[in-house]
Amino acid sequence: MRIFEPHAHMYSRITDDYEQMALAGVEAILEPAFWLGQPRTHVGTFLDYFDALLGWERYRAAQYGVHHFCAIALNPKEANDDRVNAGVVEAMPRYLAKDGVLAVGEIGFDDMTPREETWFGRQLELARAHGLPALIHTPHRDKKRGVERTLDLLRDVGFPMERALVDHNNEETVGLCADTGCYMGFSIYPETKMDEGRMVALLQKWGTDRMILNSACDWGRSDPLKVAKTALRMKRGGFSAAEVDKVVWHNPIAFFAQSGRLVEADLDARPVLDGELFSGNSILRGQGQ
Amino acid sequence: MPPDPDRVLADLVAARARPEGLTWLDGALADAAAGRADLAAVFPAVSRQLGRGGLDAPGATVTTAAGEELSLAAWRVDDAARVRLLLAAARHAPDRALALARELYDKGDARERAGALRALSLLPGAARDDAALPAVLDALRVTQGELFEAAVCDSPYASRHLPQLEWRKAVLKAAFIGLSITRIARLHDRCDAELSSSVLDFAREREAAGRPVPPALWPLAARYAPPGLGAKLLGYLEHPAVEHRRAAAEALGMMLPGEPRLRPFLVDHGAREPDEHVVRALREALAS
Repeated sequence: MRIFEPHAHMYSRITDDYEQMALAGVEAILEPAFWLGQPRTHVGTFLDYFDALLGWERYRAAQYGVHHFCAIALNPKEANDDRVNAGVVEAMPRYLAKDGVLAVGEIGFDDMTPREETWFGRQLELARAHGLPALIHTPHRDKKRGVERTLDLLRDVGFPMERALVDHNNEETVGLCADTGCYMGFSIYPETKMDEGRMVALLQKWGTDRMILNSACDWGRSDPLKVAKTALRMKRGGFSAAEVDKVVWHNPIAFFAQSGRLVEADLDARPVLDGELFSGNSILRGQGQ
Repeated sequence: MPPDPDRVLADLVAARARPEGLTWLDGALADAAAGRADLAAVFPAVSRQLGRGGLDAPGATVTTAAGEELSLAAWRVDDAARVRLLLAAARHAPDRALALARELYDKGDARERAGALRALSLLPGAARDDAALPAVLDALRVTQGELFEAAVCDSPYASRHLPQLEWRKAVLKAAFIGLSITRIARLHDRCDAELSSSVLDFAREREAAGRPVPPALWPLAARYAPPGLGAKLLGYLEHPAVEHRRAAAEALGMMLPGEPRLRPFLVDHGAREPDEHVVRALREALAS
């Protein structure tokens, strides 16, 4: 079983997690930009964070043979902060051009404020201008209304539904998304959001088309192996191996391949780790990295 | 006259990239040479257009304006394409070339940064202009082998402009992370007593930990042979690995003029040595 983990905040995880994920079958990770638990007060700290997603995290992942991609955005919480919002979005085009940036995200609503709506819309325009899909966060509180407003905004600005991944769905919201053509994300968490058993029930009810699982692991109580655990539960629940593969591998790849920057066959090769590989005398290679 | 570096790189890239990618590159090169391109906008697309694989040219080299030979063994296709773009931009604005490389390093991801670093030795003014030194220093501090390697290995620019303290740290770090220090330009010219001594300390640390010691350390340690090195090298002359015996023979040869007492041990070992390379190294050592 190969897993494409489409939403993991590895920035806040230790290197052992990459190893555990690799052991569980994770071959690729997409890390969306988010907030860091504490508000940032300077645009520069966002840019350093984006650089870490593009550089350091990719390097850490590569050590375990895991391909690391990212999505870049001003997150919904900090969209409310006038110290940083405009400056971050102004700097984004430079990052959206980068190799390995497969989407704009996480954008969306959190408290559903006017500022959130402004920067959500502005970043959908950026996604469209760069030919990128959008990874969309939905609120923890008043989620159903948040999803409704998200879908309304997507329609209002004419953003193609199949290029939107509406994330953190639950039993109350999946029905709103199912007929729109958007991709539907589910964050499987130890306590909140969604768990393995409920997820399997949802897949039995709604099918596997455009359904995407993630662990959304971050610095809170979360588990980077939740996609693997849910896949196991799917098998026990009677899903075929092909159905499981569709949900944990093919669906996320199909979504992010819309960026034009992800080719499934490229995932068969080992990611770039260092410049010594082609010199024919690699000591690192000898260490079995 | 060695061939023009851009010509060499053009042939290697052409042999490995897709035709659509090469057409894209030709357009970007023309724009860069005419001063029409913002390379910061062009650089991110290079890997997507031309690929990320190795140049697979282990024996290929290019020669800098100062006559230094630079190996392309570790280069990737996108490295070579980015260097070509910087060379093209340098035709338009030669005085800005190294500053531009630094700027592209600052704005780049790891692949872009590696490309900018690999260009430095080939850009106009490389022998005198240290405008890109901050990029090299930045890459020395990061824990990404890919960047450190591109900054320091096969880079006459780094070895020319790094201050002595930073240069010594770079040599030690290369050995520490498993890169061959023989890929550092001017290794023996810039080696000083402190580096010889640090290198020997590093070897001792590795031995104590039961970890492998790179044989290339021995000649560097012998440059300003610290006390005790001769006896250690005589021990390595009996090592099961040919590379250790050969490096030890070379290093002992460097020490012989100052320590003639070592000579009979080399003669003795030469009579028993089964490997022809080591025998040759010993012969050269004894002739010194």
